[in-house]
Amino acid sequence: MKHLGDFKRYRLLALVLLSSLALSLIGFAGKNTVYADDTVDILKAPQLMVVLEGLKQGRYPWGILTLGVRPAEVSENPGLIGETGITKETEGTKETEAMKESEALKESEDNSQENQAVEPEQTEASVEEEKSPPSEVPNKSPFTRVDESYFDDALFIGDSRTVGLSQYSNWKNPAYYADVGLTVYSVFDKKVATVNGETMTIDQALKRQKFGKIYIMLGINELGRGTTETFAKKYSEVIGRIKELQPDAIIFIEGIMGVSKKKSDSDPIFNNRNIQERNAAIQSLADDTSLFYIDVNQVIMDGTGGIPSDYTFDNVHLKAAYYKIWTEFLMDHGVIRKP
Amino acid sequence: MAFSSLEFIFRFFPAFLALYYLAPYKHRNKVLLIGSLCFYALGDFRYLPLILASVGINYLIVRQMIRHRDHEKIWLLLSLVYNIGTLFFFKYSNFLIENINAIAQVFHWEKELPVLNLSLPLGISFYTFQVISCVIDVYRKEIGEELTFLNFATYVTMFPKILSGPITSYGEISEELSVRKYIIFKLEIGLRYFILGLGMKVLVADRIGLLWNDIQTIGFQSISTPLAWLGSLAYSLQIYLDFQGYSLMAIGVGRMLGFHLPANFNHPYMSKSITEFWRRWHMTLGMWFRSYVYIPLGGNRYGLKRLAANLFAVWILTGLWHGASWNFVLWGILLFLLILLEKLFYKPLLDRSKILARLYMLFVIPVTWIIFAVNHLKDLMIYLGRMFGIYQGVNVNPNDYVRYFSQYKWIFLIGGFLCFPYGKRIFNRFQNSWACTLFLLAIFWYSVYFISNGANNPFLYFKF
Repeated sequence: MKHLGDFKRYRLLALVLLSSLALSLIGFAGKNTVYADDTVDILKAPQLMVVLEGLKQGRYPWGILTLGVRPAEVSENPGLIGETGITKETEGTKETEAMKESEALKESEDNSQENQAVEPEQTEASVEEEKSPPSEVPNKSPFTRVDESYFDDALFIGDSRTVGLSQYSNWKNPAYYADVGLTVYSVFDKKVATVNGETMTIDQALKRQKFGKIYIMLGINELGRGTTETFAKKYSEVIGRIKELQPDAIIFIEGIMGVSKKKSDSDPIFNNRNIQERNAAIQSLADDTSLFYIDVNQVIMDGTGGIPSDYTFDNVHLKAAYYKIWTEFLMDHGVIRKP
Repeated sequence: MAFSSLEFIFRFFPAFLALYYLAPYKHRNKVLLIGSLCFYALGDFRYLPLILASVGINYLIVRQMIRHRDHEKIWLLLSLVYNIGTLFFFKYSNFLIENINAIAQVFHWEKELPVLNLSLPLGISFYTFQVISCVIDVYRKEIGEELTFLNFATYVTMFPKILSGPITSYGEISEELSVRKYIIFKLEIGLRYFILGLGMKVLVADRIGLLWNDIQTIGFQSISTPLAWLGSLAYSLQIYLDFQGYSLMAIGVGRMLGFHLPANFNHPYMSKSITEFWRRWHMTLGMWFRSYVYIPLGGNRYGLKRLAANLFAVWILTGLWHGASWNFVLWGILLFLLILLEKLFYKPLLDRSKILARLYMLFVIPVTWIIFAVNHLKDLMIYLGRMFGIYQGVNVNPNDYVRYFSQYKWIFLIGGFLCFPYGKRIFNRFQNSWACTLFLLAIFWYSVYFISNGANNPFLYFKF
């Protein structure tokens, strides 16, 4: 090894080494503060990884100086905020999976007793039975078949699945306030609505425009976040706010569309069991007068309990050719109010 | 363990590099051999015995060949049977069984052969080809006594090129296997190549790859014709930048260890014909087929009919080498036809007119890559049908391409720029400047940022 005195001949090497060292030190320094939630398999990845993950999630190294020992909980899940198309969401989910897994584990520990007490009895079927008490005439469904014009004054709020609906329903008249990675937590914060060419938050848009029907499908992105109870509580707040802004609209809570069996079997978070659990929770928010619950899974699911594998490439989104199932389902589930 | 993984960049490679340079000069091949076997074991533990067997058996054969020149043909044959046999067994037996079963169904035979479901051993297509090249070179007396066991084993298993090449002949690195010069500037230059390759893959190829992913999510039957073309362009850029990125990383790693591995690409998309394209694309594979198939078959020396037959053999084999399914056969046949037609008729025309050549390539390249990309023949027909407006789509959104073009235009621009030689020229001119050093440092950390946040595709060429 000659030329060691000539820094010019190895400065890139030196800079890469020094910056790695510096970032690692930051990573270790923030281990109990900013980056306390991140765990790194130190055999496979360097500690500096948490610094870079933090950057993406808005947690910066100077937090070490300002934060106490426990960090403030991250209020946003920025890994899921995508801008590159309808598949970004799955990718996003992967990105934060490690983080969420630990989160989910913690939470399931906290709630394991409660959950176990409730879950076995309260299957989906029993929930449905509760919703339609036997005193009522069983044939009397609130839903009727409607045609496309029914949706002329409709609004669809949702995540990437609803983005897909906006692209492939062939319904031009409804409004779609949808964005990849949207959650019940971010639904009022992100500028996803367009009114007369101006982009704004859904909150602002609902003050300007009046809708006859509002459809909401949210919940897949936040599956790894919080518990079913905290999710349902937040969902109910969102509904409350929408009702406040649009008191005359019929609101449809759409059950979260499932994923394919392949995904469901291999994913600890994004699986159909978790989706069913959360759907049961938001179903109970419906009052069947101005707030209805509809679940497109009824017509999409096959024997595996998820989206048929032929209908999807990425195991999460329907292929364009199959959006018809969803639109047909929506047309079968119109609600017409008596004047 | 991909080169673009944190595990490689921050764990395996630095640790290996430290041991390698701390070891005394004369033991460095041993360190490299052991390190390479560790690398292989970390990636695919189960098939470690297979590569060890390949090294052992072929070395014994090669020694016998050198010692008993009278029986060298038998030894050569034995080695070819073993190498091609294992490659065939692990890579093609499933394909064969599926086809036999399909034929059986046509004739209503009752019995079905069970499918083997073997996973492809890591790097088998690449190391087998290098072993074969070495054995044939010994047979041709281009390599002699200098081939020690340590050198041979190191040559075959060397981790910088075990995953996806470059397919290097023994002669190309034989001197460096015996004597290497170490200066710290080599580490610096190697690192530069590595970072360029890393950025190319992580920041450009993987980003463009998302469009291809989007298109599959929509489903081929529902994309508009412009989007079908946009998708094929995206795939063309992705496959190039991904493989070129990998190759640069391999060359960079090699350089940091003191080796000069051969380049795989020479701006293939600047070619004026498919013939030229395949002299600039995956050059080490092209050289292999040229030296060990095309020329031994007689090349172009025995008239037109023999030439056509030889080209056909080369391109069917090239197709099948890339994967065991019918679309690769189809892809090989198409390349054969194009190259033959170019040779017979219109290559002089293309060479004369730059504009004509560019238009021709812009049309032909995306079509060939789509045939390469889509494994199921039914899906392939649908995609090609959408590209040419023959297949009536299902629920097509006719303006979909506007949305995707505006979403991906910048990455297309960067990817397109990297197909031209300008970037390389600028790099060569300014690579010793401070600006370039800082630029590469930024590329490095931006790539690591992306990798840390998980958005990472596996290498396209990984499973070949």
